[in-house]
Amino acid sequence: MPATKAAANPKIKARTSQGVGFLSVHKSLYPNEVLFGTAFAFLDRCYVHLDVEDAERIRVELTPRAHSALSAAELTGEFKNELVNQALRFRLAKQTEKVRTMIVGRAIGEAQPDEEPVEGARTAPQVPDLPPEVAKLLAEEDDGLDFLDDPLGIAVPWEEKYGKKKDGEGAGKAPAGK
Amino acid sequence: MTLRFHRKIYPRAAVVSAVETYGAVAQVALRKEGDYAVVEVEAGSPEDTAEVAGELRNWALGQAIVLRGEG
Repeated sequence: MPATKAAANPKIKARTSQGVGFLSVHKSLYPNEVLFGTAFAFLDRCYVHLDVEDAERIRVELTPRAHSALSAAELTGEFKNELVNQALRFRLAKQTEKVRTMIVGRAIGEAQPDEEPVEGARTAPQVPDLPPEVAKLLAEEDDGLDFLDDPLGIAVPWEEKYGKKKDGEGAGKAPAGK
Repeated sequence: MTLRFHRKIYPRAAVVSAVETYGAVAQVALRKEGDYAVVEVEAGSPEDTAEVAGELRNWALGQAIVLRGEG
């Protein structure tokens, strides 16, 4: 039986040599995004190195750390499995990109406060889950106060209150300390 | 130990970041050879050199993936 083209030039090749795992991955099988995502996931398990083999292939080197429980062959096998996992994640992300963008956009849009008050709405602040009598007290307290009011003069700068006047007159009398 | 980083996979910033990070614990030298950034690593013993070289490669790859926005 003649060898098939795929068998003659597999999209992914794997071998181990001198304690290092080598993979050669064709870009048509796993795009760069999948490969890099897989490599990133392995950074905590072993030493990972990528290189350009040719225009269509990326070479991956997996070197076990000293005293690692995983051999090069095991790392290589795990890497191939993770490639499949990352490829599925990548495909799902592409398929659901529009829906996710719509959901996030709608969620952000609905989180924005209304610019114009609804006609007939109460002036009391919309505080959910408060007993009615507490909400009423809060509303009565806020009714007579505008956020720009400053009855205690807290927002007045110190220099304006107690600083020297421009015509050379003495400084204002600062309050006595306790 | 000689490490080679292809510019199509490792942006220069990623390699430079790795060299700067591990230059504090080993002798590290960076030069350019065609499409590759070549890093020479020397950390005393062969075991230490291999360990530093491996961690430097991982650092460079992690930075490269982050810079590409794929991490």
